[in-house]
Amino acid sequence: MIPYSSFSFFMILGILFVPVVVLGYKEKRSIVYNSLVHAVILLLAFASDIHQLVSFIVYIVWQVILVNWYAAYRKEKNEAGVFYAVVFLALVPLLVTKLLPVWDVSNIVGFLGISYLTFKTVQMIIDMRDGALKTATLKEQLTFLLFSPTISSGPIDRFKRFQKDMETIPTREEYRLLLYKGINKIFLGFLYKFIIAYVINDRVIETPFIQAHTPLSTFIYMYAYSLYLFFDFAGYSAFAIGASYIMGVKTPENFNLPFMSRNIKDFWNRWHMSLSFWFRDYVYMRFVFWMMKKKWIQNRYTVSYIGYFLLFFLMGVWHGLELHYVAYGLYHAALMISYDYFERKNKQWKIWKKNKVTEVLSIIITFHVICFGFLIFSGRLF
Amino acid sequence: MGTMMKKIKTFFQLPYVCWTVKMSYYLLILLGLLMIYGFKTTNSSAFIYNEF
Repeated sequence: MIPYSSFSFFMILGILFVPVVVLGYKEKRSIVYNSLVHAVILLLAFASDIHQLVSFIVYIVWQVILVNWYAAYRKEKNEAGVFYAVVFLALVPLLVTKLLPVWDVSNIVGFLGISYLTFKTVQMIIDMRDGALKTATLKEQLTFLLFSPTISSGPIDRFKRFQKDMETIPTREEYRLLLYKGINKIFLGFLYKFIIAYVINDRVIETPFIQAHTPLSTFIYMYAYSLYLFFDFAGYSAFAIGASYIMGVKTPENFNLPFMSRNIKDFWNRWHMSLSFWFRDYVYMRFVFWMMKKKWIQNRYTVSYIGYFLLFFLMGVWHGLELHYVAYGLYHAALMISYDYFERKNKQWKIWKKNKVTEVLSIIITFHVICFGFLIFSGRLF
Repeated sequence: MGTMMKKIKTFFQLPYVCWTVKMSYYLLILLGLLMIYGFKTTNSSAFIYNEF
């Protein structure tokens, strides 16, 4: 059973959450009961496919061994080669999962949510390398990795932030607010996923006219698919965040009105935020810092542009090795670099002045540019 | 215009109005679900991002 994809899942979730809510109102948290909730949800997600369940267990053991080993090693030494080797080893299961379909080999390694668990593990290893994270006990690691509301597709939380929530038991009033927000989020998820996304898919995308692949149908499909993708993913995120809130964890937001973005930079601060911030912090920033330290390229803008290229190329490839995903990544890299260049030049030339009219125009232009990106992403073009 | 907006804002901040609006919002969503799926349990397809 895929989390949040059926009403029966919500019924089970509702029953499981009753003791959590009662305890929350009493300003208590039962680690044993919460673990049981996670175990039930994980079993629901993986038990129907024994390959997935085995892969999931082996994966968790593998990542825990890696993180623990690196934490112990980091107390003594800090060799760059060892760090890169550990990051690579943490990425191996995900790389295999992405590569097997390309080689037409059945994927027995992958399971639902492997990407998001990998982001969490790699983040912990990098934070240990930087000294931002000194230790993480086995219990803390498992609580972070196996937090069931966000297991299948995020949002990607940060270990330290998550840990803070785990260590703090909300007061009655704080929990009442969390519960209220959680229920609100779940209802928003119903509206997005089961009503709006369903209607867009059923009444527009799946119609014979749109499936006909004429220029007009592709044009309409571009907007319909963009909205469908948003309501589908934002719906999922609302469910995951809502369930987290009910469990007393303030999982970060994934979306903030992305179609109201004024430019492409603004868009990536509003769309799939937990992933884009992860790539910004752990790929782009690290790359730029590393390049500046090495001084191989003097021009900081060139370094920044290579960083953008790397970030979006990796983001594209992460979705899959199919051409349309790679093209999607490169398209956004090109947009980001072009916009950054334009923004710099505009400061000198003052072509695009800031006022209400240009702001509205910027939102309209950005919307169409983004939708074209989603058309590439959908794989309909090639 | 400013006074009118202020009055509307104050009206929507009244606890019973807030409660009614929220309840109507939840009920409308439930009604929408009922209209689309009836009393059958939906077997909606997975989320797009589950694939990644």
